Amino acid sequence: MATLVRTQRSYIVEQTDNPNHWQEQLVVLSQDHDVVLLTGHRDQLIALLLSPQTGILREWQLTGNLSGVPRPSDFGVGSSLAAERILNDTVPSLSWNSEEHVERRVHGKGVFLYPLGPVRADVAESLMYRLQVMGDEIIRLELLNGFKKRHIREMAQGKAVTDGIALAQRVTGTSAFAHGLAYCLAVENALKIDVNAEVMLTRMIMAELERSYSHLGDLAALSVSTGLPVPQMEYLHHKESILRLNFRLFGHRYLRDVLAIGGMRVPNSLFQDNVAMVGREIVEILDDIHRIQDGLENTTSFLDRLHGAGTIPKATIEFVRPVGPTGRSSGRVCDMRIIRPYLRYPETDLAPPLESGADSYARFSVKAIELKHSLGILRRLIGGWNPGVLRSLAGLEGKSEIDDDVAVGVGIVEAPRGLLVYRVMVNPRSLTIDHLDMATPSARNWYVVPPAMANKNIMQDFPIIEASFNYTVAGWDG
Amino acid sequence: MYYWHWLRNIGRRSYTTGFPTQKDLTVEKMLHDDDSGIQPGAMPARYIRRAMAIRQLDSGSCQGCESELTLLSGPDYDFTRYGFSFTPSPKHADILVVTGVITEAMAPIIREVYEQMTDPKRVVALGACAISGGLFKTAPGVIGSLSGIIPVTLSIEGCPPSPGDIIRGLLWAVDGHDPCLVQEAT
Repeated sequence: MATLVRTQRSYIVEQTDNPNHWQEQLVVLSQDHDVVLLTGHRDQLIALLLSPQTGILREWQLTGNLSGVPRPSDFGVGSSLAAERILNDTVPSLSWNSEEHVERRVHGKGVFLYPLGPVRADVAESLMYRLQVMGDEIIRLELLNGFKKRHIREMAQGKAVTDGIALAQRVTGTSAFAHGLAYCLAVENALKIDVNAEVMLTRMIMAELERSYSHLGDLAALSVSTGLPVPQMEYLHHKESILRLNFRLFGHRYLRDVLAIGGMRVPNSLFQDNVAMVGREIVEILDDIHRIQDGLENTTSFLDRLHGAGTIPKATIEFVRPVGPTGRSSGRVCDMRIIRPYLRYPETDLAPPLESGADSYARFSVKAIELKHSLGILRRLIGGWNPGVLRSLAGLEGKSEIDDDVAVGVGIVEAPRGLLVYRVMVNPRSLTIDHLDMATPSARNWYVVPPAMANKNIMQDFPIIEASFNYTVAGWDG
Repeated sequence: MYYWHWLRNIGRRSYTTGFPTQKDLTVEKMLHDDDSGIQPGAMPARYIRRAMAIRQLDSGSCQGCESELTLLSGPDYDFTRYGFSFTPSPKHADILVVTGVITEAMAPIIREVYEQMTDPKRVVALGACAISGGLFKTAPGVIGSLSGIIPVTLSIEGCPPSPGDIIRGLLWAVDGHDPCLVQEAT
């Protein structure tokens, strides 16, 4: 029998007699709310519902025996697909693989299976593609992941909260800072720690630096997939410039080992650099990005390959509700910096791009505009940044004043690839992690790829579509 | 506008660093802290001198090492000037670069790829995860180190190792000696 528990700081328990009741409610709520995060541990499912208008966050918890209960994705809550799989893997007894969801194949004359992976061309992550083709056309795609599970959620259990940052930052390499930030925000939320305004500004600068280099890498991959090495090389050079900037400012190319709960752990050698010079460098990069993008927008061989390739079907967009650049390129307003502002984003006049094409060109365009916005924000922020203030903030000092067995906190950020949520249960007395949940943008967005790939595309479009998504498998496997 | 860019490029120095055969302070600053960045393992007695094809294999990385490897083909490091290139097929590969922790699911695949490579072959363990398991040493389903599965020629430390470290390590694996020593002699 399923029990529905609604938690919003104070635990309000609602017992229901009807096992399907919670799901009906979930579906009704998911129509009004934007975010549905379901993440499973033991025999529990946790759903976070976020209203895009008001930014109010609600948490739903389902406990009890789940067997016999239809899965949430049967009700059209597609964003819970990843969580369902995690729950299936961790608690196999709660088998949720109902009869309708067994692996389906396409049979027929002239249909061939094209296995690709897990060792694939170029520098790539381990993921198995099972493409079914008829002639040149891709008619079905299956993705098999799970080759590189590191069990980060289980690893975090029992660790000290300060050690959790290192784990969180190794979920996805190119979103290391966003993961660390979401984790820190969650712990700070749980332990009710207030953060200095200067620390917030520094975190914002780092988040935008990360978004810039991540998008530059994505755009480089997209350029070379269409056979254009010149813009690829130029994008890669700028990516390297920003990584070197990261190293000069924060001592690590991927911005690791700098975050601390409640503050920053900044090396002393950091402030030798002239901040004004950094600002000038960013302006130079921004100018060059404009030039490269103008060149690409005027290259017909590039545009012809992108327009209409990998269009996500409408039903998939409604079902999975993709987040991040993919969501914004398919007409969804889903930028957490606007919907649920954190750090000092309300002070910036941020206007995220919105496209409705849902094809590779829309994704390219959204990423290119976001890159320019990020660099623009950086240029404005760095002028008013005084890193010298940070020296005094060493992070978590002493024990917290909360006298409770468990403190729950949620951290929501907009990672380079989209909505990233961490939910941490902390023991305030020993300052250890009781439980860690996370919903990564890749875990959600990968489910968009198979329908988009099998949507009137041919094999030659495959690398382009793959590069236009450019999700990480590390974030999916966890 | 176009001609201005063209003229400016003539006057500008190349982006490509001379490291490791020449000194480059910017790159050297980003190298692994101490001199233990690269640990040679079972170095072969014979050295091979020709263009090297690299097969990268991800066995559970966080994608940071992949990001750095991609930058090697970019203009700042341009490892093709030493004859390196990435190849899609293990059968064409001379060097196997393994990134990330060794998971149980990937261990048989790593062995298979290693067996498919033709002799002479080199194996490079890239990053703290591949060398010892890093932070995930005790994670369920993770086998400790790469050297427990296939013979490792050389290990490159770092999380992730900087491109300077990687290019130095790759040359070391091919030539059999530290390319930075040559730099000091000349």
